[in-house]
Amino acid sequence: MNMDSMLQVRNLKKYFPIKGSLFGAGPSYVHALENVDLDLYKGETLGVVGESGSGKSTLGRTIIQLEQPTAGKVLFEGKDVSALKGEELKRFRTNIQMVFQDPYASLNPRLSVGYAIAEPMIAHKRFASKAETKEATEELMKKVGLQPSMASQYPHNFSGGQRQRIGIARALSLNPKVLICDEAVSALDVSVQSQILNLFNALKRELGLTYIFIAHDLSVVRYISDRILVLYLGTVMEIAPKSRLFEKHYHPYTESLISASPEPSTAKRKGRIILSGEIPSPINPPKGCKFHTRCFKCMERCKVEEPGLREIETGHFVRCHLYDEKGRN
Amino acid sequence: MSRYITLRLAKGILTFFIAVTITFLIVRLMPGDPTTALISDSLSPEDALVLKESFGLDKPLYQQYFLFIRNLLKGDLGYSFFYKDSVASIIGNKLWWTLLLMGSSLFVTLLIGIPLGVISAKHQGKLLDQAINVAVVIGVSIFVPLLAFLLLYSFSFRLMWTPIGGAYSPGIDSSQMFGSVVSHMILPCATLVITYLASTVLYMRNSMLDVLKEDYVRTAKAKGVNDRKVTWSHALRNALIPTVTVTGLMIGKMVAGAVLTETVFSWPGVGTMIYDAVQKQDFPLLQGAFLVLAASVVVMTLITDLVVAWLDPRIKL
Amino acid sequence: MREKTFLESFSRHRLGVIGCVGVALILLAGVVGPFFVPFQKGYGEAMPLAGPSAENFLGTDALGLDLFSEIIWGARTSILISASAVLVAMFIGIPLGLVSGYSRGKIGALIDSAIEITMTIPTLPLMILISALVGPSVRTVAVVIGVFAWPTLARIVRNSTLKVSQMQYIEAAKVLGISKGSIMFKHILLNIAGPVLVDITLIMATAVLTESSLSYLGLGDPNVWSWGGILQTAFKAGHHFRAWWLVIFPAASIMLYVIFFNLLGIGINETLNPKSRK
Repeated sequence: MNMDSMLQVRNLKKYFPIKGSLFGAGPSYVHALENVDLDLYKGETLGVVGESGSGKSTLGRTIIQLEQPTAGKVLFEGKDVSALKGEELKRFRTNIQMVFQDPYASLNPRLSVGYAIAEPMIAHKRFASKAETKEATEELMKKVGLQPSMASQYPHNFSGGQRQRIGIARALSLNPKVLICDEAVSALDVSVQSQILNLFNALKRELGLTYIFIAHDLSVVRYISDRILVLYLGTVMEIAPKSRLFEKHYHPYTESLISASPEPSTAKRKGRIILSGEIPSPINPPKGCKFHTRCFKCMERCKVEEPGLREIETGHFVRCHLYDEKGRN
Repeated sequence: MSRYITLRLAKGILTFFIAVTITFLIVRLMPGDPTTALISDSLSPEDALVLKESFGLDKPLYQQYFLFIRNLLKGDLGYSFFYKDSVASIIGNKLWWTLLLMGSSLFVTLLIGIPLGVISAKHQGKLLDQAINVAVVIGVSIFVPLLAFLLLYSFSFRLMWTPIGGAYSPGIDSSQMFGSVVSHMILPCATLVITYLASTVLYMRNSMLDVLKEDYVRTAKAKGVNDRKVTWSHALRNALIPTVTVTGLMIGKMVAGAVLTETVFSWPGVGTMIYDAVQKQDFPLLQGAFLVLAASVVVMTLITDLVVAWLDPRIKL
Repeated sequence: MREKTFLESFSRHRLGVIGCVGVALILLAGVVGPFFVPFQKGYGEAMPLAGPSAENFLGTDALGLDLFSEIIWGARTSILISASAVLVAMFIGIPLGLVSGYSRGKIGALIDSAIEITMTIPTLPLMILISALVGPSVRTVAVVIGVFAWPTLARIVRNSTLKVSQMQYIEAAKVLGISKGSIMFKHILLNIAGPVLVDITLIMATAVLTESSLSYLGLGDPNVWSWGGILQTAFKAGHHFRAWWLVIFPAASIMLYVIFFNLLGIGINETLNPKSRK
């Protein structure tokens, strides 16, 4: 690939300690992310899919420094940002912003929406005068499809879709280069979802944004993404350009995900693959391949040895023993 | 010693140490000359000089502090201007009366409050809820001297059922002592019990309601264990844990109630002594009274901690 | 359907409304009253220790002064002291509670222990010692009460802060680079105003109880009228058995003040959290 990689995640690991019980067996951890590697290219939309508990939200939160990584690095424009503090961290915040999942919980009910959008600009001293800040706020509101006259109202006067627009305007107030959308439409009605997705696409074109779009809903990710990353128990299972992934996926987990997602447009649906059992606990992840306990193509080898992430075709990576041979090509 | 007791003990010692430090700083950092606070004008100049040296008031602050602590550890709380006696021995004579009053009041409060709380948890209803709520509001709003006065006025002056004041009738022999003290203690004790009963009932009731919702209580009931037995043995022990914890926190407030009660009934404890010391501007006595009461509260809190530990199977003693 | 406003819900809480009306009357008596009733000083012209009459309808004290006027001026003292004590308690308790609830870690643990220890120490004897040393005045009493009232407020602020800081909008503010100070003193404080208000009414109540206790023990400001001070004078002179009005009216004022503020607090609390009815 010749595109510029603006954000690199290298060997990112995030373990959450669990408080030992009273009858204390040693400390245990939730293995949220295990050695995640990814590159984010300028101008693309990277979709991240996985079931709940796959670590996809933690990935976004760790990239944006809401969580400190246990190990590994997050590089933004070549600079390690995973240990930033104080003013440097504040400056980094203007590069990557986030749109949160729950439009009802992510806006402070006691602050007017105009203030919610203007506050980051005031905190970062983007403008010298109040008038300029106000103008920029109104500009942002228009950009996301809200009437600037509503700036003095409080969140409870807005619908879920409108609130999410406010959240987007607020995230854009710092002129970020990258936007992480963590389940940004999953709390919305389906009809509203498509409006917001279209808004994301329009903003991307207009502002030249780069997205990391985290969702459990494959159809949403398919609609918006250029590339898709499949996460299972904190581990990257497959990464591929969207067009390729839906045509030819290699990992049995991806296969099951795609077969389970409703796809009205394509008539060539094969039989649905229904995975047995639940996603294993991230406190005691399975040895070997993380997916082997539910895999319908599981081999003896999968239970003991974890496969590596191999590039099978250009830009298409898979972590599965089935393709070891091809990987060697 | 288990971790729990060690921790509680350390916290108790720290609390008392902080109380000591606050006292030390207050007396010395207040505007004006600390000498006047610690040494009365009525003392002879020679006595004043001796006292001044014993406080180390001419030395730097940190040396005074060490001296203060050392004296405390030796049990030396200073010298009272008014009584012309050491503060420690004066308070030593009064403290037991205060502890007796507080201890019996606490005992009676729990003795009545716990069963009342359990019974009220078993008989829920709007009327009872309201009654308890109103009682709690009145309880926390009681101005102790008024309640004490009303009791004294009705039972001692009007009805003449109880003695007017003091802790025992003068000139009686030791065989009558117990009865005399009990009859003198009824009203002061009643004052404190009335003041603190409602909150105890409320806490007991709420924790009982919580416990009755727990799985093991429902399991016991489902297994056909007698309802009475479930309430009074299975549930009670667990419901007592939060109540005793809260009682421990109440002790500090109860000291205030006891001080005020004593003054109305001329109970010969630390409270009445504080009242007199205020009138006489006897600062060393006031300082000693606070330190001793703080220490008593720390010890009583430790005792409630131990009771909690005994009740709570999750804490290993 | 429109959500009910706070006032609409509150107006249905009977005890809360009683408390609110009572508090309003007390404020009226204490703030406006002194402009209409003369300050009592020296010796009165009325008969000393006379019971309630048309002239002095709450009776007179041992100096022949009008008890009603003394009580009105006493209301002013109570309001002044409890309100100042609340300000002092807020000044200490709110920042400490916010910091301990928001930034956890070592500082949080330190503040928690400070709260716990201050709550264990018997404060009345300590307040007596301080007031006696500094000399009784309205200012001393107000500051001393406020300084020892902060732990309950700090604890409430802390617990509410712990809850609010879990909210996504706090994370959002963090990601947006909003400073810790703004997050605590704007984003969080605005959302915990309810419980803070409730605790303030409760502090108003206990402050008057403490103020009256100190005055009753002879540590009130000798230059102002206070309800506890009237009681102290009566008890000290032994008039309390002969002139019941010198005990009942000031003591009733104290208790009504406390009850009304408590009821107001309960009303606000139960309107804000309908489920948490105790």
